[in-house]
Amino acid sequence: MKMFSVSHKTAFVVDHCPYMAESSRQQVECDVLTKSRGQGMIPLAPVSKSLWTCAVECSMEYCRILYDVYPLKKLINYIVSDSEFHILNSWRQEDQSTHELMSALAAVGPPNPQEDPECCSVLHGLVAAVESLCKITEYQHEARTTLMDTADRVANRGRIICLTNAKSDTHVRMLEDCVQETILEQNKMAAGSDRLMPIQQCELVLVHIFPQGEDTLVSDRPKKEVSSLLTSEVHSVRAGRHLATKLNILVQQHFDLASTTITNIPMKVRLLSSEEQHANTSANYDVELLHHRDAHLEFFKSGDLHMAGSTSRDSGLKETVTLKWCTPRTNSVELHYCTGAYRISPTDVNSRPSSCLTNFLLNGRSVLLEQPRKSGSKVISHMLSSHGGEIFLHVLNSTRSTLEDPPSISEGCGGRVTDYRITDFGEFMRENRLTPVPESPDAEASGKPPAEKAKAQLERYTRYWPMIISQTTIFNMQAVVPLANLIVKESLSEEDLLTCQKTVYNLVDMERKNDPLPISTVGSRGKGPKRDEQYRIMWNELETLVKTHVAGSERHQRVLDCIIACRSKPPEEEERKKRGRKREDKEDKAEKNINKDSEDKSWQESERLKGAVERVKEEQRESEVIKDSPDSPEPLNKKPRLEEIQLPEKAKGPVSLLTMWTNRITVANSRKHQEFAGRISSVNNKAELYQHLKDENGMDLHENGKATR
Amino acid sequence: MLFEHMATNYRLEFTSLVAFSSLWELLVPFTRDYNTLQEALSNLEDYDKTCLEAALHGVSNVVQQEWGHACPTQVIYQAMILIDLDVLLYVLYTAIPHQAVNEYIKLNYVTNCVPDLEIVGFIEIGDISSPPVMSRHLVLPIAVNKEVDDVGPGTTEEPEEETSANQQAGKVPNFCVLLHGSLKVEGMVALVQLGPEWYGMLYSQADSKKKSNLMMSLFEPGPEPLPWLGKVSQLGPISDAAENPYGEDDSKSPFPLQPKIKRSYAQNVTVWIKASGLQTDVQKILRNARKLPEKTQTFYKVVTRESAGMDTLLFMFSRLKMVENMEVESIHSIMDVN
Repeated sequence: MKMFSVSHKTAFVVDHCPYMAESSRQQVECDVLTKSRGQGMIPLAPVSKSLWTCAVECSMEYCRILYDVYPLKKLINYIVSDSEFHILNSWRQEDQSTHELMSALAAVGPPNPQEDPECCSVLHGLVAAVESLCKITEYQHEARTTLMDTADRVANRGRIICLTNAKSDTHVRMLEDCVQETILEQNKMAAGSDRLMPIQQCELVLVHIFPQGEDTLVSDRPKKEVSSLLTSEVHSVRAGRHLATKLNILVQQHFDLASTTITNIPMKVRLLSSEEQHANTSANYDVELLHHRDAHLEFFKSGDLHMAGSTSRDSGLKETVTLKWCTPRTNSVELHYCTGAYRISPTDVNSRPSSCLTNFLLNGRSVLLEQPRKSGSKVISHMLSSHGGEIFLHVLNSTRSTLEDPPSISEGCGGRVTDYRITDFGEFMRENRLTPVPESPDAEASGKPPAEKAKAQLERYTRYWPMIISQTTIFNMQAVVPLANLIVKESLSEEDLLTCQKTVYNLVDMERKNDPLPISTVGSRGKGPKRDEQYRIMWNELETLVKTHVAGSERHQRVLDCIIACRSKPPEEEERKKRGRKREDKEDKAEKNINKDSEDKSWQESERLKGAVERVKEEQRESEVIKDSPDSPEPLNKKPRLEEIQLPEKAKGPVSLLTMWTNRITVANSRKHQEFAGRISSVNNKAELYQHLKDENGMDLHENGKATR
Repeated sequence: MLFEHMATNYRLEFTSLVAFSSLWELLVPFTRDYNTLQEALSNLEDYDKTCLEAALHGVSNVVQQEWGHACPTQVIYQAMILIDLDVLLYVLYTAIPHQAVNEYIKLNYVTNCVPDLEIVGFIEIGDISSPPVMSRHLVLPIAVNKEVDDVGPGTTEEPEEETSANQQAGKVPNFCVLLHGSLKVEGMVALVQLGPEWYGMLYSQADSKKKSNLMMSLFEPGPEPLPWLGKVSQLGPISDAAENPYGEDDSKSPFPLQPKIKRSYAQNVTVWIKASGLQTDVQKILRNARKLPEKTQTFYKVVTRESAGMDTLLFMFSRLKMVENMEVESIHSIMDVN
C-alpha cells in the first residue's frame, strides 16, 4: 500500500489580480447592533467585501478547520498570484498555522486595481503550485529514509485548490492544460533530484468566484480525468456566504469529515436590550462541529443515520447528525468505554453558542451526548471532552457488551484472601506514576528511553514484595521504612547508606529493648513465635530484601554486610571472613561506627566457640520458623541444586512479585547474552561468591538456598 | 453435542440459534442459556432447501443489531460453525467469541500470562481520561497451585469437587486481586506494553451490582496512542524528575500534554465570514469607545486585542468607509459622554 494520500499536500492558489478587487456586492450591515444609540449619531454605513476578501476569508476558514482536526501531517502551501507568484509559507510543519498565514496575507495587502491587467494572471500561481507539489515534505523525507528498500511506497500526490475569477469555460480549459503541461515538465526535472519527487496524482479544484447578482460565465463541472496524472473539477460559486458554504463542503470531502450538531445546549444569555438593562435568561442553543467521519461509523452501519436527524447532501442542505446535550454530573472521574476519539472544529468558531460550548469543555468539563434511535429509545452514544486544550468527540460503546455480567474478582482465585497489602501497593503505584520526559536530541547517547527506565524501576521495587500482610514483618514495621525505601534505588549515595545503617542499628536497639514486633499470628496456635524468634524472622526477611538488591552497587552490598554484622545471631564463618577482608581492603566508613565495631568484637570472641553448634541450631530453627508461617515456602533442599533454575519456583505456594520478576528477568537475560557462570549456578538469581572457601570448609550452600521468597 | 461442549467449556460465551432454508429465522437470540438452545434445537423441523447466502445475511443482521460495530475484532473472530444435521437442513450457530477466544485471558501473573505483557507504570484515571480503545478484555486470575489448576474454572462435571478446589484457590494470594484492589482504591490504571509500540491499560471496573473486575483495554497500536500522553516511550518514572510533577500533595499533574499550537477555538481568531462576526467585533470597540475617557485602559486593551485580528482582515476591505465611520462614531461617543 502506498503511503501519503492526495490530502497530504494541499496547495492553495488565490488570484490577486486587479479584477479580484471588485466588490462581491454582498453587504454587511454594521449598524444593526447600535440602534439604541442616542440621537444625533451618524449611522454606520454598510460595507461589502471584495472578491479577494471573500476568497481569503473562506480559504483561511478551510485551513482553520483542517488544522483543528489534523494538527499534523496534513500540509498547506499558500500561494498568491498576480503579475508574479508569492509563496506565503512552506510545507514545513512549523509553518502550518492560520496565524502565520494571516500575517503573511496582511503583508500582501489587497489587490492593486491600478496594476496592468495584462501582466496579471493566476497562471503564475498554478505553475508555482505544481513546482511546490514536487518538493518533498519532511514526512515524505523521513518515510523515504526509514523505508530504504521499499521507498517506492512513498507516494507523491497532492491537491491544488485555485480560487479565481475565470473568464469562460475556455479559460478554465486553458488553466487545466497549463497545469497538465507543467506537471509533465516538472516531473522530468524532479526525476533527477533528491529533494523533489515526480507528481503521481494531482487533483485540481477550480473555484470560480463571481459577484452577487451577476450570471456566471463558467459552468460547474464534476471531477473528470484530464490525464492519468491529473483530475480536474470546476465549482462556480457566488462570492459571500455561498463561497463559504462551498469551501466548508470541500474541506469535509477532502479530509473525510462529517458534521455533528449538538442540540439543547443550555446557555445563559445576557440580553443587551439597552445599555443599562441586562436581562439574564436561559435558552437552548445548537452548535455544529466538524470531525473525522469515523465518529459516525456506528450510524452509517446500523442505518440509524437518517433517524439521527441528518439530511442528505444531495438535497443541497448540510448533512449533519444531531446529538442531544446531557447536562453533566459534577466532577465524576470515570473511565468510559470509548471506541474512538476525534478532534473537532466548530463550524462557526466565534459565535456565542460555539465559544460557550468550547470554553465549557476547555475548562475541563465533559459532556455526554444522547443519540435518538430508530426505536425511539435514547442512548448515550458520544462524549465531548478536552485534553490539553484540544477538544475530542469520543465515541462511546452503546451496544450490548459481550462482557456482560462477568463473575466478580472476589469469586475467583485469590478472591478470599482478606489481608492484601492494598494500601501499600497503592502507595507503591503512586511512587511509580509516570511523567512525560521531554525528548532530548542526544537521547540516543544518554541510554535507555524513559519508559524502559520506568520498567527497570518497577522491577527493582518489586524484587521482594510480599502480597499479604501476614506474609511480611518488615513491611509492617515503621522502623524499617527508611531502609526499605532506599534499598530499591538504582544507586545509593553515601548519605543513603548511612540512613540504611542507622535503620539497622535502630532495629538492633529494638531487639535489645525487646520491643514487640508485628508478627502475624495467623495460622499459628497460641501466642505465636517467641520474641527472639520473631526477631529472627524479621532479620531473615530483611536480609532477603536486601540480598535481592546486592548486585546493584557496592553500597547495596555494604547494607547487607551491615545487617549480617548486626543481627543478633553470629553470622556464618565465611561471611565474617569476607567482611574482614573487605575491611582490610578499604577503610570502611561503617567501621567508624563504634557501635558496630564493638558488636563485631563481641562476635569474634564468641563465634569460634559456638561455630558448628550454632549452625545446626540455626537450621533447626529455620524449619521451625517456616512451619510457623502458613505462607512460607517448603523447607529447603539443603543440597546445592543446580537444576533449580530450570524449575522456577512457580508452583510453590507463596506468590510474591519477586518470584514473578525473577522468572521474567531470567528469561529476558538469557535471550540477551551468555549467562554469567555464577548466575547460572545461583539460586534466586544470586551468585554465591567465594564458593571455593565454602568447599574448603566443607559447608553447604544452605545460606544461599534459603532465600527463595 | 456442540452445545454440551460449549456449556462445559465456554459458559460465558453468547450463542444464538438461527435456522434457515430458503428463508431464515432467529430461533434463539444471543444467550448464555444453553438449555434454551438445546430445547429450540430439538423442536426444529425440516424445511425445503439449503440457502446459505440468505442465512449469512440474516446472521449479519442479527449480529449487528445486537452487538453493533464498535469492535472490529468481533467481526474478524466471528466463528460460524456449520453442522450437517440433515440433507435439507443446516443449523447455523453464531457464537460471538468473547471478542476473540483469548478474551478471557487467563492471567496468572501480569508478568507471565501473555508472553510480552509488561507494566510500564501507573497513571491516574483523570489523566488517562476515557481513552479510545480497540478492544476490551476481562482479566481473570488463574490458580497458581497445580492441583487446583487441574480442576480449574470451566469444569462442571463434578460440581462438588470444583467448589472445594475453587475455595482452595480463593485462599491463595493472587497478584490480580491485589492489583485490582489497589487500582480501585487509588483510582488509577496500570499502563501495560504488549509488544513493540503496542500498549494498553489494566483497570478496575465495577458493574451496577457491586461486582468488580480487573479489565484490560488495548489501544490502537502505535508509539503515541493518546495525544494527551505523548509518546509512551517518553514516559518515565517520577523519581527521575527534578521535582515531583504531581506536587508534594498531589495537587497537580504533568498531564495532559499541551499541543504546541493552540486550536482555533482556544485562541482569539478573527472570522468575519458571517456578518455577525464582524458586527460583534465592531460593536465591542464601539461599546468601549463610548466609555471614554474614563475607561481609557480598557479601551486600549480591547482595541489592541481586536486589532490583532483586524489588522489582517481590514486591509482586505475595498472601502475603508467603515473605519472612517468608526472613528467618527468614537468621537461622537466621547462627546456624548462629555
